[in-house]
Amino acid sequence: MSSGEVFINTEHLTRDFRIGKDTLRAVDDVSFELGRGETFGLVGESGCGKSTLGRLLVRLYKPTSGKILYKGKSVANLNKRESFEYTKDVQMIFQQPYASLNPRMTIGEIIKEGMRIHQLGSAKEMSERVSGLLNMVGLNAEHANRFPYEFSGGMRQRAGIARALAVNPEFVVCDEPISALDVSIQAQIINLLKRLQSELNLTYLFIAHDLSTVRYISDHIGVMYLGSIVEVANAEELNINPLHPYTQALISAAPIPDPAKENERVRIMLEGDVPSPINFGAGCKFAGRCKFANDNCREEAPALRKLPSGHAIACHRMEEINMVE
Amino acid sequence: MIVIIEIKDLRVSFHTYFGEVQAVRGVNLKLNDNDTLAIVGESGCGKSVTALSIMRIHNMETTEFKSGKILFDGTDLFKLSEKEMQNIRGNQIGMIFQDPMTALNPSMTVGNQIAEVLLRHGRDANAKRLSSKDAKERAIELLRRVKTPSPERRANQFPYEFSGGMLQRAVIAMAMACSPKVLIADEPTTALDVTVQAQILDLIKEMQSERRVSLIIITHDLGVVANIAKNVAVMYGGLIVESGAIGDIFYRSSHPYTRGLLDSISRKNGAKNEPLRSIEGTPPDLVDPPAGCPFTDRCEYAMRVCKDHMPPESALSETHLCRCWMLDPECPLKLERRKL
Amino acid sequence: MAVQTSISEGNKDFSRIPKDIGSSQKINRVSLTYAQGVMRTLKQNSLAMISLAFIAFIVLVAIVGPMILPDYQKQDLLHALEAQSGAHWFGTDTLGRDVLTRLVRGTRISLSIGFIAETINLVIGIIIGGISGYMGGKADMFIMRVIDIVVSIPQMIIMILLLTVMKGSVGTLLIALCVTGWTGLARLVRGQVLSLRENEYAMAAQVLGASKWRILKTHLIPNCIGPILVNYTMSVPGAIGAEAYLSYLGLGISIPEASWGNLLQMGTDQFPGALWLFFTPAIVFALTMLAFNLLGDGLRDALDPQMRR
Repeated sequence: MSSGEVFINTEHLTRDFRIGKDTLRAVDDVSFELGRGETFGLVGESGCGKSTLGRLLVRLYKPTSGKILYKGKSVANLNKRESFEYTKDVQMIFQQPYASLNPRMTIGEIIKEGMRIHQLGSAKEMSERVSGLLNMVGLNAEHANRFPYEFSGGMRQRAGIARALAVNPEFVVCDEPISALDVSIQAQIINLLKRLQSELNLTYLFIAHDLSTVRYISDHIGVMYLGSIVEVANAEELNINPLHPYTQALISAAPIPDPAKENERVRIMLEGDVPSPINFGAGCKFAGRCKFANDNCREEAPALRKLPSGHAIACHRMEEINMVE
Repeated sequence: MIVIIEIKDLRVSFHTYFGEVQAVRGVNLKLNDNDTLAIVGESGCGKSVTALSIMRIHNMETTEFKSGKILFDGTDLFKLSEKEMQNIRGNQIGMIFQDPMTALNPSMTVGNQIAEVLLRHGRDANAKRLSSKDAKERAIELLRRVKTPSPERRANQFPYEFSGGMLQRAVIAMAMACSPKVLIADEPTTALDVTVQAQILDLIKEMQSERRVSLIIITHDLGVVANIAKNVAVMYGGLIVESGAIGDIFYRSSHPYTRGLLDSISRKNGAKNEPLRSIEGTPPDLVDPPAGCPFTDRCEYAMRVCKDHMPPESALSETHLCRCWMLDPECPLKLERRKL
Repeated sequence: MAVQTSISEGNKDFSRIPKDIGSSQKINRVSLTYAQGVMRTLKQNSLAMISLAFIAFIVLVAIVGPMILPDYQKQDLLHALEAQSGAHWFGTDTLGRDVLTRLVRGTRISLSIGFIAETINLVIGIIIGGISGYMGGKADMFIMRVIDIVVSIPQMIIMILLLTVMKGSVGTLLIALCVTGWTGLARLVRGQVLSLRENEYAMAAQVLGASKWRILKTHLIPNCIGPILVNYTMSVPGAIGAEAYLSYLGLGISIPEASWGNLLQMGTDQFPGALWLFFTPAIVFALTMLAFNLLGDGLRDALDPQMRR
């Protein structure tokens, strides 16, 4: 699928938020790259900064430092016209099927908005395109005159996808598009996104809190913890052979829908909750919950290093940990 | 087996200005003593409404109990006055909510909130009401029991100072404060992070075996069901479409909907380039529910009879019930074996 | 077992039918626009509906009444201070003017002042509040400080000061009511906009390249119409009341022009000798205030997002 060229990438991307006197570093020195037509899955628990990273990419937020390069060009240096073009090329699918559609507008109006903003065709052409888009996402033309509250969660999410696709984007940030949906609907949406990707040659950043779904749509997966990417690998590789203790715990924690397997397996149970990302000191951020942490881990933050296998991991003790296992 | 809660032909409707939403359309359920019953289904299937009916905590202006009764230890809960019901809530039936943040009063310390429940319902060894000092001590003890680190300090903190997982622990402590006979947990792990979910489920299981409490857990997550439940009821379109012991549902499921649910989450199989198995379509609108089986429109096995007539409940074994026309002895069509 | 299957043995049609995904996604409910939905709920509230009907009636009288009734300034000193009669349904005042005619004229003036003043406040409030909430930063800081200053001076004092400087007329009353009247709504709109702009649909518009103005106009303001409408309905009686108060003090509309304020003033002057002079405007005034408040309450309930599922 990938043509090998780097389509969008970030370099040392960092974003801070001020909370009173404190600084919350939501995204901390994140670098990753994504080829055209690829999907990069981004996984982590709430507050790990994955959504902030997505919002940085669609320019809802400005980076505190570091940069985003789109087709090799720094996004921060785009002029006004190029910035406007960027809003056509880069789109987003949102998490909340209820909050992501304006309740006062019909589905047709919602889908048309991007076309209006970017002046894509006459009124008649736009209406025709709305019908086409609705069919493409598995709804039908009759739904254009309906209001969002009349739709089920899955149908709203389809409408949100149609809105994003209306402007012919090349890169779509999918910000937890399935986490608010019912299980039987989740698979529908994943299948839809995969089909659209191959039909329209889309590039995805797919954000989720759950590894099991992401592996089906992603080529590569990055695992985030408190603003930093701790492990990146090929999707299958990451699921079969996770190397970072946090990734291991995350996979181990996911419940298996099979009572026999669920009962006999041994969980890697993490202690406590994800700590607050405010005012973090030096050292590995995971050290507080990691049973392998030593003094070195608490003093020096590990850098993301590339392994010969293609894995990238930020852990001082990776070799020792995975020898023991 | 002692049956502690029995729901008989429960029908609940909501009145909205779109008309009457028939949220629960004739549900029969039994909860045995020291049992764990999971009610599984997707949003709008009526699972929460069914369980909340036991507590009678709906918006009474819009909710109508059309028929049925709920027997708790033999007493019909619908016949109790609000005052008698208050004595049951929190005291005999505890509840854990989905969002612990909204389940607690934000302007009161966590310790005081637990103590308040104890002051209201709690009794000491001599069946006397507790003093506020004793209640506070017991609250701290409960916080320690649910593995809150430094409970003395935590008891004096407000909910916003807790993380989501810690807060859910506090809610569990509160629900267990009066050693209820039944605990209802409405999606207790849905709002929590994956690494915390397992901790909370373990805690619920521990509390359950320690206090011998019967548990009803409402969830959409079959992984949670597999982890905790002994018996399962699968709801769809306001009805229980299949119920049985956990093995009946996971290994011998006979309803196409249950199958579809299991398939759409069994992510182990299927290569990356193959589409995931899913259930196409959308659940029915319960304002005007279909006369026949609610799953007909989405069912691979749909037949004429499904569309027009409600399938009866067929007993597949002593524990296993299923509502599907394919189980009719005359039906030539049979459910294929599940591809594992 | 409560399974009703009125189906006789051997009558079961086991022929296969295809899956019907389209039908499962079909929406059976009638499509209601926001306004239709609100009206449906409002219609169930009989107090609000009676109030709405009463307000509609009063407005109609204010528009049509003066056209068909004789001149409200026509004096007839021979028939001064007469009680209700066939010729003068509500009696006459100290100069023999027909009370009904003057009341209708006063209704027109008082309602106009109420509606116009609050409409001006509405426009100013939405614009300033919207800008303040959406722009944020320094613009927001500046606007909020200005509002703080304006609000810190008691409204009555500003109005009385203004009216002692200027001659009391409909125009000056409107100025007096609008100098400070917009601040409440501006604050309300700002708060709404601040919370609404965190909604994903506002972000979606931003990601689509929508300008700030477009987002404000098509996404944020339409979604705070509810609270704005309630605020408006509750503010109109406030403005009417203020007019009455000022005119009663002789600062607002003065005789020979009629308004509820100066009608009430004459009524109290002649109290208790000519009761009709007091009670006729007082009852109309009180009922109108009540109707607006009941309607506002009803609207608030009808606009409650919880009702809309």
